[in-house]
Amino acid sequence: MRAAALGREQELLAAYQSVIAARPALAPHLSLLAADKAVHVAALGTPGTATSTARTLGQLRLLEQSAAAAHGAAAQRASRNLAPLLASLAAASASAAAVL
Amino acid sequence: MSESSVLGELLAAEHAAIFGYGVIGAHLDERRRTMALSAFDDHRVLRDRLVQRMTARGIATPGASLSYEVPVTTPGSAVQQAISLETGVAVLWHDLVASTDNADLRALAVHALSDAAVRATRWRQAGRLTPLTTPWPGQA
Repeated sequence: MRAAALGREQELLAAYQSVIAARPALAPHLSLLAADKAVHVAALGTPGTATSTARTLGQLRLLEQSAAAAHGAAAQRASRNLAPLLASLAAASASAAAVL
Repeated sequence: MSESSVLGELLAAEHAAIFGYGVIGAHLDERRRTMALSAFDDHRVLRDRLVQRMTARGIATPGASLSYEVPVTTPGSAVQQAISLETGVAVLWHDLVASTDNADLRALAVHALSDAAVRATRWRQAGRLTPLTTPWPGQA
């Protein structure tokens, strides 16, 4: 579950970087949200490589909503040790989706 | 912390949030008052869900206090208080996630934590406060 969560956060981070590259004017807004993803990736383990074809805020919002659902579902099945971290990740993605 | 003690703290916090949003809403313009009213309703639903689950477990469900200290005098302090309320309940819902293996309670806590984090984010946005989000909602 932790590895899957890391994969989702890496994908999100790559998506933010992809959208920022495509639309630099959005960088001030998106960089703060992307910083949260970088914190998550660093906390979850050794980062691998991820790429993204995301180009729009709508695509980012959908990815965040999907991650919120996946993290939340995992939090409901996880051990007591891991569940709080996954629940917090779900809340972080739901929060980001709310402002994209 | 035991499941029952977290539930007790959560019920007290939800009572306080319901009272708090009544005060907060009175200090806001119409658009943000609508946000406060929506949050007020959300916390009433959560209070009722907590009471239902605590009653089923034989845990006492104290009622609300007659009054709570709500340090709000301006629209800005009202927004800050709303953020503070949501941040506080998020910590307790996060604690419940860590304190229970019950699937129903875990699901309630996961959803309530996310909802509190989203409300806090929207209050920061309404108050033009940055950053809008925090990396670890619910972590004290």
